[in-house]
Amino acid sequence: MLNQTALTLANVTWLLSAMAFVIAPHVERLPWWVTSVCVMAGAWRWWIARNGLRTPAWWLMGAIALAIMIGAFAEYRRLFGREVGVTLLIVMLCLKMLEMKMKRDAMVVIFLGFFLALTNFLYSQTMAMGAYMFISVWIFIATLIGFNRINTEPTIRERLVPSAWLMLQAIPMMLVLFFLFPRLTGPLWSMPQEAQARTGLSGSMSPGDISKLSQSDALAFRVEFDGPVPNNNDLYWRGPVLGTQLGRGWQMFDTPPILAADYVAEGPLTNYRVTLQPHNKHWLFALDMPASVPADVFMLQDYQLRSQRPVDNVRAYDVASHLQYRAGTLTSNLELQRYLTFNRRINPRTIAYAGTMREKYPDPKVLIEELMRVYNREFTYTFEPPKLGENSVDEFLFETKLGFCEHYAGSFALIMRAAGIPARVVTGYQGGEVNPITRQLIVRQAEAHAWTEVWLEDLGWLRVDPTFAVSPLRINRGISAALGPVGVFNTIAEADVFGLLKQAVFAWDAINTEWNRWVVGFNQDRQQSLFAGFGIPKVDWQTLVIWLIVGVFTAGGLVGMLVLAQGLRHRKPPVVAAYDRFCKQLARSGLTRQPDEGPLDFLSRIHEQRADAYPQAKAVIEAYIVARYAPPSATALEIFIKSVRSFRKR
Amino acid sequence: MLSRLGFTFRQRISDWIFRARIPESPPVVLTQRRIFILPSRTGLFFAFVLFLLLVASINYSLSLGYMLTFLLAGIGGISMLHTFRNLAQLSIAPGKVDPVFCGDIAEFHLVLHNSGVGRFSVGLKRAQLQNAVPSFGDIAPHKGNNATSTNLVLPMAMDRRGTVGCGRLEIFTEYPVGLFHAWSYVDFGLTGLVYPKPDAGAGALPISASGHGEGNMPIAGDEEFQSLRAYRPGDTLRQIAWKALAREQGLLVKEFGTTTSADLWLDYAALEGLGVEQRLSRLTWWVLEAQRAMLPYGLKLPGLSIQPSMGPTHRDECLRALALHGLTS
Repeated sequence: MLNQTALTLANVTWLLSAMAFVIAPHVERLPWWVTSVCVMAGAWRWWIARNGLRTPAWWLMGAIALAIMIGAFAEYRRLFGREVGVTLLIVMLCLKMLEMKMKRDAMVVIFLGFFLALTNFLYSQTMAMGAYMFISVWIFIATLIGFNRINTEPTIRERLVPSAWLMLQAIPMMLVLFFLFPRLTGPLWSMPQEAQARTGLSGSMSPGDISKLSQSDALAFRVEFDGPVPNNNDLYWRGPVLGTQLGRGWQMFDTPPILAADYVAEGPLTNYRVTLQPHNKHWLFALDMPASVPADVFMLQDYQLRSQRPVDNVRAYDVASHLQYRAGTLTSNLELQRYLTFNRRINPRTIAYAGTMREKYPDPKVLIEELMRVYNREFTYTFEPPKLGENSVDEFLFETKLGFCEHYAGSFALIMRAAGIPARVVTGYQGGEVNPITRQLIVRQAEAHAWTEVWLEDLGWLRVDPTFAVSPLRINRGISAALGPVGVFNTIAEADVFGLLKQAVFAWDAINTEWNRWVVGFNQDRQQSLFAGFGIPKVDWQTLVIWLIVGVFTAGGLVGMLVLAQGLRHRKPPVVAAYDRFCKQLARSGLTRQPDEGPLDFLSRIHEQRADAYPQAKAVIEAYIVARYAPPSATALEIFIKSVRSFRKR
Repeated sequence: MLSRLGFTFRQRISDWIFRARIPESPPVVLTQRRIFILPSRTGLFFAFVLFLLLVASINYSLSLGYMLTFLLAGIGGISMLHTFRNLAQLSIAPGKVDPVFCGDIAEFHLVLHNSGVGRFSVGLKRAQLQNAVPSFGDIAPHKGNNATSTNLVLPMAMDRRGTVGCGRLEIFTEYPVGLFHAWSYVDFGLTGLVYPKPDAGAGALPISASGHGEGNMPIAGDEEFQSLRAYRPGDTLRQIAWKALAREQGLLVKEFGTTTSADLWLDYAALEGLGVEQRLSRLTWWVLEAQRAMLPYGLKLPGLSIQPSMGPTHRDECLRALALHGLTS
């Protein structure tokens, strides 16, 4: 009976708005018919609340729900999984709103709405999304307050102000829980991985792939060096190594993991920390050549770093590299054979050319130098190369002569293999931009690059970057320098003209860095280093739990005192306090003032029952009436308090 | 089942705190010791949702998911303080209870003095009654240095005459977010006076010139015919204006006014052959009729006689005597 009144038009409107607010970021991913069903259900619900109609019959709801399940199965070909799960949650919540009859139903909808707010983070965890979450919670709590106001309709202010206070007062506890709650490294149970397409390297390379990628200024990762940032031409960020030449492109092939880096270091160790944006793939990036391996990561024989789990979230890891090295001098012939195979059916001119060149220059080192000279002399570096056909390398080398790094790396590795020299393509990033505020290196997708490694007797795997021969500027100064203003739109480089804007861009980047470091990328490692910062080297989860409990109670206690002090005045005004003392005195001698008895009525009763006390009591009560009800004055109060004191001393 | 258990549990608490002091002397201030607070059923469901949110955050390693979960957990925890604060330091005193007739609804007033912030949706219900229907009210915030007072009204259907108490009262709240239920008990021994249900079957007033309680029938010749009025069930056949009926003027009743100053006595003893409650009901009806007709009347009950008089005070005295007849303890 009581419950029906909770579903007023205002409450329903708030609930519908709150739900629309959390569903909004999902809309771009939802099938159009799901969005339509949700909008119609919401409008119908609003109409029901407005006109006091009945909710739809159960069989109708059942039929709609069944139709939606069938529709979802037709759309996604499954009923379990992340995408379809989120879709079903959204549409079922909308239907639940349609049929809710009681306050309790509305509560269920609101709480599941919080769950819906969480699903937004599966797709984005930016600062903007964080702010969006806070606003969603604000609206939901305001809605909840409306449902708990019984019989009276709260104003918008009476909804938003208390909910804002609740949230503000909850923040200390939230921070304590966020930083001290023991973080786990892996999932509680494994879930089917539904990788979404994200910008980044793909693990294979065909002409056009990387040049397309280089038009994106999306962030790939950030790097914090312990020492100075190395020279730009040493910044080769090793990613997927492509050992298989197939048709037009190159692909990875599986190499076994190795226990430790087996190369010979020829220079000092460079320590740094990478904060990698999610790319849903297993590889991590490190400078050539990585020496130490972070936890949960292994190194393959071709010196790629592989994570156990796909990087589906911002991931921070510490790594060290030797920038000077000699790698793979002991590689067996059997293994090298894999780096000599190529597709002989296509690109006949290139294969023939490689043969002639090898005859002409039998020494591989001389051959490589000669080829570099050719690249430098005859080729042009552009990120908009012409389209190539079936024999792409032939067309590129002998006709168009315009290309991006993948063309150079691909063609060079093929020539090497055809000339009998083991070679592979390495993809990754080259260079980066230093943020002058944080001193961090920012590496963007625009910095995506491909180069080659060739195996030479005594020298092992040697990095050869044919792009360097074509455009030394690319390697020495970076991609934007090489391509000029047309190269990369919207990057920091373009903002050069506007110094102030550039500052702002860097500042924003610095804020984002902190966000990623303290919020999105906050994991077990960060938790440990947070404690290390306070001089506590290693914390186990039991210690964390103790700290957590202490922290929660401290935060809750402090806020609690504030809340109670803010709302309740324990101190009575002095007039009332003195009058109470007077009444108490009389009560002790057997004459109790009734709670609803005014001072004059009380006085007449005193006259009847306690004639002896009457004259003094009369003085007190007259002084009280002046002090309490006349316009406030300090002297009146003083006289009254004095009279009470003398009455009590009697 | 669960609600049954909860009810028993609350009864226990309630009995325990009221071991010694019933009724309490007003005003009662809801101090920390008097206020109980436990998660509501909604609150338990909320905790379950928080658990789901945490599991999802761990499984998908969503940092913002953790943040959302912990923000909501914080809000839940802080809301306990707000729910507590919504009752705390209220000073409660008993208010008026206007007398009603049996079968009507009495309104029990509690006066709440508030020296703090405004309170919302404070509920009041009878504690000793399962499924008691609560009534709700908002309580105005203090103004300047002065506490404000607000009445909370608990309506209660009255099904017997006499002094009827509302028993122990539970004052409770779930504001602002419904996750916690805070409650307290007060028992002022608040009672309302319930008059007998007026019985219209009593018919016209037993006006008699001699008026000494011989009978309730007017004696012919001793009264003067005054007017005709419409028939009401209960009118005697002797009063019916047969001539008017014959003239097809409808069923009319002759009304008689005494020209003498003889008093109207409403006498319990005269209503022979009726049960106690029926007699009281008829007398109640007559008291009201006499008051309406502006006639002075007296009331005779076994062991009690109220001299004829008029006016609201007299009426209330008579009704009170009728209400309490045979119940005095």
